[in-house]
Amino acid sequence: MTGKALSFYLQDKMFGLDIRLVKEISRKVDFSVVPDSDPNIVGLMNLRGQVVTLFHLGKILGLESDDLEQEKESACIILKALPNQPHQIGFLIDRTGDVIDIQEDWCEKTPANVEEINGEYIQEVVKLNEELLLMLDTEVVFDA
Amino acid sequence: MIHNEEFINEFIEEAESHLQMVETGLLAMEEGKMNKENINNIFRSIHSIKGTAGFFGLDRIVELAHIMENLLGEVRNEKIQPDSVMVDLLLTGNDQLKAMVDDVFNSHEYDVSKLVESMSNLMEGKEATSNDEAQKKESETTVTSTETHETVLTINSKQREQIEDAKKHGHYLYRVKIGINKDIGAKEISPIRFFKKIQSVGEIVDSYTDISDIKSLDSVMDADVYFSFVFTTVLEKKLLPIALDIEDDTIEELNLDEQLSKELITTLSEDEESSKETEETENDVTEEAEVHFEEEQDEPNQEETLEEVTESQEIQSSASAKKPAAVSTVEDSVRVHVSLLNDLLNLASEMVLGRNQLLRNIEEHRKEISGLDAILQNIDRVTTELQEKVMQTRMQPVGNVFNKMPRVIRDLSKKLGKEVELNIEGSHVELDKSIIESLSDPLTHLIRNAVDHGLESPDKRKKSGKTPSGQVDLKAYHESGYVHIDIVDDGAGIDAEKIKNKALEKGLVSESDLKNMSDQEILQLLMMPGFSTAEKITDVSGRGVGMDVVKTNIEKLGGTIEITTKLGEGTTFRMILPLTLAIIPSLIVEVDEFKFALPQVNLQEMVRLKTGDETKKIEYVHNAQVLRLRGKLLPIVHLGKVLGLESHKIKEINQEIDDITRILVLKVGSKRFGLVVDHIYDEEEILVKPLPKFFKNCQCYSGVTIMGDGKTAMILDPEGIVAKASLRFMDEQTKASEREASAQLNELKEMQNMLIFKCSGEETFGIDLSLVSRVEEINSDSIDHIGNKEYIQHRGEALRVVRPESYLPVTKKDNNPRKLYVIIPKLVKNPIGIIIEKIHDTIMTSIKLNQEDIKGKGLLGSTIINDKIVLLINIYELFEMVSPEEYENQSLKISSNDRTILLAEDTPFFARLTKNYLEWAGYHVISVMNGQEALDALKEKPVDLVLSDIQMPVMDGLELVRNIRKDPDLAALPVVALTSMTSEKDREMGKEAGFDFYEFKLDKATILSTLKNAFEMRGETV
Repeated sequence: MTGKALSFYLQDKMFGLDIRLVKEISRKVDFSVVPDSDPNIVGLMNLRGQVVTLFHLGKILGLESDDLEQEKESACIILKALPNQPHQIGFLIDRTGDVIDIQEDWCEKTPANVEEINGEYIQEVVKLNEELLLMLDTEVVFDA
Repeated sequence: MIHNEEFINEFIEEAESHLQMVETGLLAMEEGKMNKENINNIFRSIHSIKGTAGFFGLDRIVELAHIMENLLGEVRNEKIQPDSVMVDLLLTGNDQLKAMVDDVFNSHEYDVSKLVESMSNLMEGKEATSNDEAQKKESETTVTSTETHETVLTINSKQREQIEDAKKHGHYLYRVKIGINKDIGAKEISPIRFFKKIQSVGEIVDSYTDISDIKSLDSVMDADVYFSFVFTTVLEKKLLPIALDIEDDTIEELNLDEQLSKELITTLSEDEESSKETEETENDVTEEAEVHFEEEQDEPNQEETLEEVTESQEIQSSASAKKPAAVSTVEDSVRVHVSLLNDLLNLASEMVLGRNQLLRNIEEHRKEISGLDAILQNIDRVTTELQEKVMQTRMQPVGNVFNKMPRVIRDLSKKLGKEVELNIEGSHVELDKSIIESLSDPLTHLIRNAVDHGLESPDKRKKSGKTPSGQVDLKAYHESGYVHIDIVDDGAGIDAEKIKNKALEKGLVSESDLKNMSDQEILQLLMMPGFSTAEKITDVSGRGVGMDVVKTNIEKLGGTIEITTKLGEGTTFRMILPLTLAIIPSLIVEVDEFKFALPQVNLQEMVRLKTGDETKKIEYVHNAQVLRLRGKLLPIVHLGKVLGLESHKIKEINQEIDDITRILVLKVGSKRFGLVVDHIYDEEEILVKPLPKFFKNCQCYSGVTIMGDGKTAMILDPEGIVAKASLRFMDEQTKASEREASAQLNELKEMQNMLIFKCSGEETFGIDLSLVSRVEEINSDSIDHIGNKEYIQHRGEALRVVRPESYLPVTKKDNNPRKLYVIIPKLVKNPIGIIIEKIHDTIMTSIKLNQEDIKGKGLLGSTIINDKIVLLINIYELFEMVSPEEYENQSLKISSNDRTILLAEDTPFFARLTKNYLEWAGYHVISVMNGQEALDALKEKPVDLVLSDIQMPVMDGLELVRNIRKDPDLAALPVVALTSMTSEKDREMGKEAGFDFYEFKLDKATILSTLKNAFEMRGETV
């Protein structure tokens, strides 16, 4: 892709997201846990009257997760509702990174040997100067 | 895409409503409603469709609409008498139009030629049969271009007449030619709106699109399409550009006088270049305007025009009722897009939430800031009203769905050879738009069911002594905050045996299951997937869509469906639907620190169990927990356990800490169970938000809401909980719970709905809502004084109003507020309004009357509601004090004073009220609380008459009267039922059980005269 990406950290790993998908970043995460729901769902959040389903991105990506207490402190990214997805989606992150300008030729498809993270969730890998930015494919990730 | 999707959608929406009107109109026509109004309506609707379809170049639609219009035109001119063949044809045409409108982008692929052919055959056939020359002349003339030989414009006598008529009213005739893209597109108004705009200033005579260059619909976007209107209006030419918001060079004025035809021809033919003179045949000279593409007009046409004038005058006089052409109607409604309404509803709901949060958070500071209280109250009130109004914008009458049913019935009855009479009631009852929309399919299905499966064939009906034509009733009405829709047939009823056999055959149940099933349960089998009772599958039913789909659809709407049937007499399907889906009353409960909202629809009662209380405790059947509730076992489910909350188990063990088990008794359909929760909080009106799809696997929830504290809470779905907890309701339990449920219902009915209010003094008053017809807000200056009496205008009549504090032994103050309320009572002759100053609330409560403490004429007694003493007004006494001449009807009193009436009534309030006026009339009254007590009393004391409530605990009124009739000593005793359930059915049941009379509880005058009658019936004078 070309354009701006938002980077964020989860378990000290850096991920990226097309900034056009992001509705907002909320630092005050106040959600209610829903008993008997999918383990990947953290709970529901009231975002100015809209109900947002918060996901446990770490779990979906197969990263080890710390206990919930720490997550309560963290921030969350809320995605724009897509026309075919009437429900609002958000997910917890540890901290936000920067907004990075990305050029097309920095991008590459996910290398074949990516095992640590479920490879299909990664849309592409962006080769930044110092590190690699894993761009998430939100449609695949949250197609619960 | 034709021009703009929105325009097309608007066309579709518009056309659909027209088509519906046509259908209704045609059906009415078939039933013999041949009035001009009806036919004109149909004609206009079809014409509108033709007109607008022309804009988009929807040839096929235009073609079909055109021929239908012509046919209808003949009917309108009374040249053809419509018969059922013709109505059939028109209905088929209407259906075809519907199909094409629905599939508008492919509409040109539909083949309408057959229909068009049969319609024109019909028209010609009709004309052929009548050899009258004049009729032949009625056939219309088409205008053809000599070059392309295409039909461009038709002027028939009707249009001619219209122009002539308009002329008489000082109209001008204009033609406007506009480019669809250039003029309409640029101004972002749709062609339909433009069409309407013209209609608002005048009457359209004809309109057509020049679509000859357009090869496909898509090319409309590129090449501009010119559209021409011919219309009449009173506006002068220079005003038109302003009125229609168009360039003035697009407007041409046409001459209305003798040159009419010529002008029409020349101007309309301008677009077509190089028109040639056409030969005219003499026999074509008719009263029709012959329109040719000619630069110059020749003689015959002139003559013809003159002829026409006289002709049309005759037509005019014969159709004298015709409206003047220029009726500029003031529109009192505006078309608003549904999405806007949805947004409004959401916003209003958000506002309710916001208000709740505001009120909650500011509660402590209310006193600190002076004036805050009033502001908050105002916001509170405005918000509530706003929300209600917005809600109302979405309300639509069920008639929108109901009016589709006559057609369904008509087609069915033809197909099945059954005569069916459909009786529709309550079309005005309103429901939320979304519910109305989803109601069509289930309702159609149930109606089909009723006709196909329910009603017998005419022969069979005759054999069983019924009228050959079957009756299907479709009724909608309000019932305790819900809308009921009944589909009643007087057919054969449902044979439980047949259902059993079928269910066995299909392997839906086992034989042993069946043995244990109650009748209701067997009926419920009907709604299991894969069930169909029709002996043979017709194309009417048995299409794989069964009652199970109906049931699911209704449940999706938050409603339920009930079946009652009587073999040989008929079946009733009752749909019980919420008024709206958006906001529901619910109870907030908590388990393990999770809060949930429980819809109150399902809630029957709440039970608290104290540990250590041996009389009420949870017992065990093996491992299952049950509760004895009024002698029946109620299965107990722990919400925490169902939701898999782990810490719940620990809590169960440590239950001693809490000491109290809270059980909510829930009812889902006929199933009842107890749900254990940790805490029960307030009732809250919650805003239902759809369940995010990610929770679709969680059976226990039906939605999400945001509570007053801003947190989200899940809305519990009792049906889901039953499934999740895998509760299996067996026969005994269901039967028991059925009985319980009906007892419960009775109890609920005996709860009283009290209106709590204040007059000028400090006292709080209460009046039973069943005595109130309505409460109106009035201005203090709208009270007129005549003598020392006060009157207000109410529904155009003078209504006397009184201030109760002037008559009752209570305090009185001079507050002189501007805003007052008037309670208008019902069930009294010549009502008098009661002026009050403040409405507190309406409360559903069972009243405990404090017996003797506060007494006074006009007061029934007092009770405590929410820690306040509430004085209950006896309106009969109050009115007697106000206007003794009218209300003290001495004729109702009895002369002797040795009559003893046994009054069986469990509600203290009604007992007191009734006893009060019975004693006033001169009877001795013995009061008892239920049927059993009444029977006991009858054994002890001589009684002259029994007056009994129907719903009572221990033994109800029906049972009481049966017992009385059985007892040889008592059998002749007059027994009068006193009830709040006065439907015909209830009445019948009452009479069947043995009541002599059946009266509404609160109708004092009627009851007293009934009592006299009851005594007289036995030959006694009183």
